[in-house]
Amino acid sequence: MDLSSFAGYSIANQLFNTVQVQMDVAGNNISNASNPAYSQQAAVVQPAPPLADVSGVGEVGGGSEVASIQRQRDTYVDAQRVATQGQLGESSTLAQGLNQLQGVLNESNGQGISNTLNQLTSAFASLAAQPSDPSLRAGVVDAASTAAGAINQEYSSLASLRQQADQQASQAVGQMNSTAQSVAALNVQIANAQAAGQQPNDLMDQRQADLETLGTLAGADSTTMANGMVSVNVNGHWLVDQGTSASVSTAQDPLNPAVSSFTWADNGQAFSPAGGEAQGALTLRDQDVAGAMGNLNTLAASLVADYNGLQSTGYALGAATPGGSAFFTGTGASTIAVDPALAANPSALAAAQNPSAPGDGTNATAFAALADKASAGLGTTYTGALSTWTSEVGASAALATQQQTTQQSSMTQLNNLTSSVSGVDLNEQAISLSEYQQAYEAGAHYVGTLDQMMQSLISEITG
Amino acid sequence: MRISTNQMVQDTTANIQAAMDQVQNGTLQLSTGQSVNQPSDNPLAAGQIVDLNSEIEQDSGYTTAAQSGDAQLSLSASVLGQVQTLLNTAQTAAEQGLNSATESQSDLTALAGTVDGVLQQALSLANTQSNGSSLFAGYQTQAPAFSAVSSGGQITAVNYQGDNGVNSAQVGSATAVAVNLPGDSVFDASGSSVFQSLIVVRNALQTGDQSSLSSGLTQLQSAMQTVTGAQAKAGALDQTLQNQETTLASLKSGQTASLSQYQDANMASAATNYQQAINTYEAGIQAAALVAQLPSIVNYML
Repeated sequence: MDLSSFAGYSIANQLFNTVQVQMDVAGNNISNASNPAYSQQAAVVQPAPPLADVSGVGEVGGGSEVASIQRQRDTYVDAQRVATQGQLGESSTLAQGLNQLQGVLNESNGQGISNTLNQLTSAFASLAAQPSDPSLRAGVVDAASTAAGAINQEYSSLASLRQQADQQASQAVGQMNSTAQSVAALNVQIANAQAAGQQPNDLMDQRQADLETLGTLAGADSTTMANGMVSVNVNGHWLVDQGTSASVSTAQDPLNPAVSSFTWADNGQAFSPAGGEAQGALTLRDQDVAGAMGNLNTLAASLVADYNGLQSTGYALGAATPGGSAFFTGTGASTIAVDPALAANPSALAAAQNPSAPGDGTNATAFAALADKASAGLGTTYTGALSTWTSEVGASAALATQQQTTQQSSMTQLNNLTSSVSGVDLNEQAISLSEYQQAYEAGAHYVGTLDQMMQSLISEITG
Repeated sequence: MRISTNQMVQDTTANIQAAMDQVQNGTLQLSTGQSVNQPSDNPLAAGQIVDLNSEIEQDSGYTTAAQSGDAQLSLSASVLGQVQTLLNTAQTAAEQGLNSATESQSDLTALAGTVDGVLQQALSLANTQSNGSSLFAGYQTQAPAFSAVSSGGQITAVNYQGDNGVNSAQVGSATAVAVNLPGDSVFDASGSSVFQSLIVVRNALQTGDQSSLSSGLTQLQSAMQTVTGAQAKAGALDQTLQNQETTLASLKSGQTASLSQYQDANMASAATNYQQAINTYEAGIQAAALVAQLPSIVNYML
């Protein structure tokens, strides 16, 4: 069987088609070079079906054709990226929150509650020597108001931090719901495209970005299935299954109206993230900030109990019977205040331990000595407790920052790995472009030569 | 490893940001002079700083109490010194009245006038107030320590209105020092009462009763010993407080030194680290400038 005289034109046609596609792919790569979520694409070129089988001689090739446009991607690194985003999201949120928390609880700069309590102790020490001096009595009341005010203030800052963490968790959950919807929709589009024999490269880039977002938000975990779809779950509960997505509802927590509770909409079970910003925010809200609020309440309750205990057994200025107004009112950090009756009348302060003894300052000495004693409610001194809490929150913040740094550098390494496979190198693209250009020129020559040959043949025949 | 164009840009940016972070940290240390600006900078040191600040403040409370007690005791000692001088005058008058049988009654009456003056001044000194509080009234600081009963224009009896309450200044976690001397034991001790002996001596001089004058003089001398003893006691307590103030001051300087070790930045090394951070940062931005100018193969193709 002979070859057609025009077979060469068919080869040339394939060549121009192939080069055109290669040029388009390179152009697309170049225009996406600065997009870190973009994966470099490459035209996979294969030989076109042979023109004919000339027995004894062998096949004559049919030129080239583009088999597919492949996305250059390392799927193993992709899975690691999602997991690392989950850890990084959690530790970043935690580190940021704990840094704010330690700013609120900062006792180590010489300010803070411990400082106001020290001032109160000093005021009592001064009063003890001259218990009937009205200005020293007023000094004690002022110092006590300042201390109570510092506790109120710090508690309200902690409540704002808790609210902030709560909002952060709510936002992460809301964003997780909408991102899950997006992944489900992309699943369907990708599966349809693949079933039609297409390569939905950009959709797959988009879905990978969404999966990483789900990692960052809630530590979600994903598995790719045979049909090209991915299934996503969060801490054992499904989030995306083929083309459907689950969602988490946010409501006011019935047990603690100051915060939100999160439940899976499908079965009403409590939502607990496996990592990510949601986990970081919830840890902050329910452990670190809640713990600090609890500590402050214990401190306030101890102060109320200790100071009122001494006030109730002591004698006001010249009083014949013990007691009278309390020292502090309130039960916790948000309510502790100097008893209004004492604030209005500092002579009600029980500085004496003897009846009708205005010059007796022994109870003022006992008040001053409270700072040195382990308080029953705390098991240690007031400043001992504050110093321990300061160290603890400092250590937590340092640890979270350390973890954030570590995970950030893991992420950088993964970015580099991804980039080395998927990133666009402009030099590489430019070299390819010149290669394609030369192939195109050679093809043009080929057509020219073919043409001349055909001209010669035709002119011989037509005379 | 294959390096993509975007990776070059991202890595360079990340490195500049890391260097900026170091510069920021160095600036903070240099501008505050402190190495612990937040607890996480050194959690253990942060706790120690809270403890030390509290100890320093507590010691300064002890110092205030010691200074206040010091003021009261030195005032007490000085008042008692003046009382002693007065009693010396009264003693001289009594001895004069007793020794010379030659003294006329009018001379004795003049001596009685001197003693009566001493009595009035001693009463006023015994009622000395400090910041509105009676110094020698025990716990009953709001009323004068002594009240006089007068008859015919002169004092016939002096009654103590205070109690025997002794107030202590807490000047260390286990150190309390008495800062007042109740007046009854100083001016009105039985058998050696300042006022009683002065009244007896004055009356004896007025009436020329030599035997009563003699026993009055003995009482007066005994009262002088009590006052001297009280003054010595006030002086000794005052000395204790002053010693404690010195102890507290040296304690404070030790605590301040420890505090400084925990919280203050070593300025030499902070400055060096800062310079190093600046150098890294400068190197980073220079590298970024070079990356931006890095030629691409395209430059050579067209």
